[in-house]
Amino acid sequence: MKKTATCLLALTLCFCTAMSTTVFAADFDQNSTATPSTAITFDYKEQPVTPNEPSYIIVIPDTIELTEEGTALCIEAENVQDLGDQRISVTIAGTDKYRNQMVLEGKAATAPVNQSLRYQLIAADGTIIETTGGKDQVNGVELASFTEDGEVVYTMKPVITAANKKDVVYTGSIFFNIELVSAEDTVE
Amino acid sequence: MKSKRKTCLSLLLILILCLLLFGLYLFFRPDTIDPSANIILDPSSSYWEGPLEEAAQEEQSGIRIPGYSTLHFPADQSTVKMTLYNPEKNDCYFSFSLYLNDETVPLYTSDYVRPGMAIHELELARPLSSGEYTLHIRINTYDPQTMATRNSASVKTELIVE
Repeated sequence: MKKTATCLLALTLCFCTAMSTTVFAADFDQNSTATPSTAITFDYKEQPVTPNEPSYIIVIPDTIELTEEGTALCIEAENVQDLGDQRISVTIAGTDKYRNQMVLEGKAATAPVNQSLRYQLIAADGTIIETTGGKDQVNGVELASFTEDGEVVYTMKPVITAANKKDVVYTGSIFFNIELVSAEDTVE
Repeated sequence: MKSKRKTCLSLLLILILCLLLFGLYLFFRPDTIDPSANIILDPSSSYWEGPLEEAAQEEQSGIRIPGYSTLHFPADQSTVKMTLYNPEKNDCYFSFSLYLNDETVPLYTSDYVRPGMAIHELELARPLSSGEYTLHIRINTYDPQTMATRNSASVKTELIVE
């Protein structure tokens, strides 16, 4: 046991000595007149200090219970701080329906079971936003623009035709796009 | 024979200890499962009292979507700091997905986040090289009882990686 420990200790010492030798090894020309030196560089960059936290809030409609006369759809901006030369733009990114159409869907008790119902968004100035069967017709349409806290109100109204059945619960979702854009940019 | 018995006893004790530790972990672990909806809440989320709620004085209906100005991520790192927040006054769960430029595969996806909670550190699918990007923060919202989807939003912002 003692012999084994002694051998191991000796081997360890030899190993350490061998490794340490390479540290001190260096090429040095004693005839050279150049001053040995080591170049040191330090790229001192200004690190970003932004905490990557939210800087404003946009309130979009949660669930809307449509009525035949129409229901208010409000989009609000809260906690808007200094945006500089930018504005908050809220646009329609799409809907959850085929070809991003502005329709609601439901199931009827009798055939035809699958029912769909179009709806419109009517702005305060009377402008109507709706789809008529085409693909992505309203994607990108701007609903609201904010440079400070505020509110924009639309009237959401179903387009009821003779083909629409009663006693059907129609549902649907809208996807909104929110971004900071240049205050000079205009969106259709 | 005696040594075998000792070994078995030791292994049994170790097994019991492991089971005990596991039981303690289950008892004291953070609440990550919502029993009412049987869904997994994001375990990295925590309560956040950010400055955004201070100005909201009245109870208003609707879904509060947090918006972001230019974001900064460190280059060549998968772990980044960013606050993904579900405002306290909301009555829905959020899930967040981050998409870079026009990519369709998300850079990051979260589990569900309750109102008042926020995720502060993200593990990206891959580290990013230095540069400027467009980041789309997709926020899907869900009814907390039925998990039915509600209106959702995508927040588009500039991302600087350096």
